[in-house]
Amino acid sequence: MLILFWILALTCVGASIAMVVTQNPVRSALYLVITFLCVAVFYVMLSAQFLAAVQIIVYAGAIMVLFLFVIMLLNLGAPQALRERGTLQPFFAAVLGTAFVVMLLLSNSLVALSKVRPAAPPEVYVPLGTVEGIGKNLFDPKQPWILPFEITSILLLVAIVGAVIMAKRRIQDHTP
Amino acid sequence: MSGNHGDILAYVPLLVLIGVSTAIALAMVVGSFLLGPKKPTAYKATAYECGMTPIGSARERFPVKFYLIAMLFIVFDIETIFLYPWAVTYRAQGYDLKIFYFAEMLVFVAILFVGYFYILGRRALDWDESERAVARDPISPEILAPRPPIRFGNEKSGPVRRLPEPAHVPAYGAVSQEERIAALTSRRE
Repeated sequence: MLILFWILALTCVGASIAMVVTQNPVRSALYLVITFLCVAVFYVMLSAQFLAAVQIIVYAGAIMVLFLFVIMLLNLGAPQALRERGTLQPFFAAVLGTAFVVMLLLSNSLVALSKVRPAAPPEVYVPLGTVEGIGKNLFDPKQPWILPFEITSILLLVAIVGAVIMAKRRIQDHTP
Repeated sequence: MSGNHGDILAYVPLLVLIGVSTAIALAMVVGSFLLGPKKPTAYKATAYECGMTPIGSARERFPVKFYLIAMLFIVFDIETIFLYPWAVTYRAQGYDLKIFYFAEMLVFVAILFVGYFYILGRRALDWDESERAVARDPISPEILAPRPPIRFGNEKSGPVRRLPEPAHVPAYGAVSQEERIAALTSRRE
């Protein structure tokens, strides 16, 4: 289990670094897919199976398509043209990254020092993260999630209308 | 993490499947690369059969239409995500709850159907807008009128004679290929 975690963690970090370093934007996108897949397996290891499926279907599938379309839409051209020059971005990135790592290390040691102990795992394992567990909670009339669930569809409807209006504005001007 | 160990072990077959399929895919690519003879000639390097010789770079800019379709795809993808837990739990319910579940999903899908019909009504999925373009600025009849035949340096050989249509050409496969060719070429005097 731990071995699997470390293999995946190293793959994930390696793919993320490769994604940033690679000059070809399409290859970058493919490295991002590897990172997404690794994160999906992490979700399974944390017994959030539904989230893992969503990660693969939505992120590695649909969102990735959007990324690729943006890359093709912009047509970034030769990789040499992509190099940034004279910006402060690398400096700030380094500072913020170091601060983040220091914060992680500090928080770990602070938790170890403090008397607060993390909550013990429950005696009975409740499969909340599976597809079935989500379904049971989401659609059960005794649970308060019915209205949020239905409102989600209105949210998606708004997304549809917004996308169509933004993209088809030109056509709208011409329709008599 | 010890509580769900059995859960994780259920994914071992999946891991094996991923491993085997990756290995097969790699073996095919690497194997053909290693084993295949490589004797490139100028003729082999040309495009195969009716392939076109490439003109310019393949990195062209992409029409924005694709982006709209991808965005709409994401919305319906998320709708499908909600269908998974519903479908898994639906069967386990009693009769009354089944009706409730069904109505719940019906409302959800009905609201999204409004969006679907909106997309259709706005013709957001229409790929080609030429139909509308014609309605907007009609093409002049001269462009649509039949044009004289294009000549390729044979202007001196007199006017183009259109060959008379053959009386009867048998359907493809009805007669032998030779007979068909004979029927097609019989109009040539």
